[in-house]
Amino acid sequence: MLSIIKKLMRETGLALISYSFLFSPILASAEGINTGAVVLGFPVGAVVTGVVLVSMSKTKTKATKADKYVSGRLQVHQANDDYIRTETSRVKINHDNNHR
Amino acid sequence: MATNITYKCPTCGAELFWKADKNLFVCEYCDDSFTLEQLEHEGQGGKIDEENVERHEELDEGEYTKSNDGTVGDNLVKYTCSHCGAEIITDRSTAATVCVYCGNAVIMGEQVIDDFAPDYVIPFKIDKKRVMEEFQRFSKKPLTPKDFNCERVVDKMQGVYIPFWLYSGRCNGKLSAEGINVHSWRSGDYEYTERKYYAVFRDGTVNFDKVPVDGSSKTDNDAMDSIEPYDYSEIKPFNTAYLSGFLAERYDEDSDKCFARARERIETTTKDMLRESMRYDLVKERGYDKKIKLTDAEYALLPTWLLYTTYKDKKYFFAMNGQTGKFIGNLPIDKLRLTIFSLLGGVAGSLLGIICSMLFM
Repeated sequence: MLSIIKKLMRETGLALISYSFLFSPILASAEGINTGAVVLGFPVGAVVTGVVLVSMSKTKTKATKADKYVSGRLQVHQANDDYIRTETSRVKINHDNNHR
Repeated sequence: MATNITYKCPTCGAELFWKADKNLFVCEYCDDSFTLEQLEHEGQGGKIDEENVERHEELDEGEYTKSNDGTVGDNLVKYTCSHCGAEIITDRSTAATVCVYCGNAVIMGEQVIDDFAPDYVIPFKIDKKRVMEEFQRFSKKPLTPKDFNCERVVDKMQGVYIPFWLYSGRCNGKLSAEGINVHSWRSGDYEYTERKYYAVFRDGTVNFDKVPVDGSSKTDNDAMDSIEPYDYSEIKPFNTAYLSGFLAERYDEDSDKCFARARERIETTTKDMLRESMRYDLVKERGYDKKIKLTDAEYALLPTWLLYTTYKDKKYFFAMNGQTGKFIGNLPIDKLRLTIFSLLGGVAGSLLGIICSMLFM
C-alpha cells in the first residue's frame, strides 16, 4: 500500500511539474477568458482520457449488489410521506458580466 | 477395489470427456458422442458408489512439495490414477483433475459425496479454442503493449469448476429518509428556489434467488464476482460426468463464512430498491434497518477458465465465465501510450474549453 501511494505521489508530482512548465508562458501572458479555458480544459481532458482508457484495461471489480438475482418486485408493506416544511430562497441575477 | 470415477465410451471403452462446444460427452478415439441420458442408460453417470470411492493417502513429510499441476503447497494429498496407476499429487480440495501421465480424467469421488456433494452444476459451454480467441479480442485495448502477444505469453490455461454457494431468501428493509423536491424559477431580477421537505419511510421486502459467492479460498473473490452472471436456466442437478476432462475444486469455506459477502450485496440492493420507490429530487438517508431470512444455501460447481500469464516478470491473471464467455482481468498498461493519449485528450479538452468560452461568454 505504501509503495502504491509513493508511486502515485511521484507520478502526480511529475505531472504537475511538466504542466507548470508547459503553461507558465501562457499564464505569464494571461489575458482573457480563453486562456482560462485552455488552462482548465487541458488537465480535465487529460485526466478524463487517462481514467477512461485505464478503466478499459482494468475490469476486475468487487460485486457490491445483487440486482441480477432479484426475484419479482419490491413488495412495499408501508409507505409514509409526511410533509415537514417549505424553504424559499432567492438570488439576484447579476447582469454586469454580460456587458463587459 | 476403490478407484477414482471415470467414464468409458460404450462403443470402444476409451475415456469419455465432456466437450463444451458440442454439449456432449465425446470419445477422442472413435469420435462417438453421448448425452448424459445415454450414459445413464448404459449404467454410467448414476449415483456414486460411496463405499467403493477412492480415499486419498496422506503424504509423508517432505515427500512432495508441488502438485502435478505445479501448485506449490503443504496441503497436498496422493491419489492413484485408475487407468495407468500413476501417483496423482494434488491439493486436498481438488475434486477433479487430469492425469499428467496418461491424460485421462480423474474424478476424486470422496470430494463430491456426503457434505461435499454439490446440488448443481453448469456444464462448460466454451472450449479452449474459443478461450484463446476471446482473450485475443479482450486484450486488444488502446493501452495494451504491442508485444503482449497472447499465445506466447499464456503460461497456463485451465478449465476449472469453481465451488459456489448460492443463497436464496428474502430481505426486509425499513428505510427512513428526508425527501426534498426542488423547484426553481425566475421573476424580475431574481432567481427563486423553493425546497419542499418530507419525512419519508418505506418498509418493503425483496426476494432473492441464488446469489452466488465462491466458496474457495484459492480463487480471487473479486475475479469471481466480475465474471457474473451465470445463466441459471442451464443449471443442472449435479452429476460427476460433467467434470470429466476438467479440473474441479470443492469448497473449503463453508456457507456460513461466505454468507457475509452475499449479505452485503443483498442489503445494498434492497436499500437501493427502497430508495427508488421514493420519488423525490433529493433523498437523504436517515436510517436503514434490514433483516434477511435465508431459505436456501445450495452448493454448485460453476465453469470458469483461468489464464495465468507473465509479462516483463510480472504475473497477470485472467478469468473467463465458462458458460457465457465474459472475460475479466487487469491488462498491462503501456505508460508511453497512456501519456500520449492523455496529452491528446488534454489538447481536445483545451479546444473544447475555448469553444465553450466563445459560445457562452
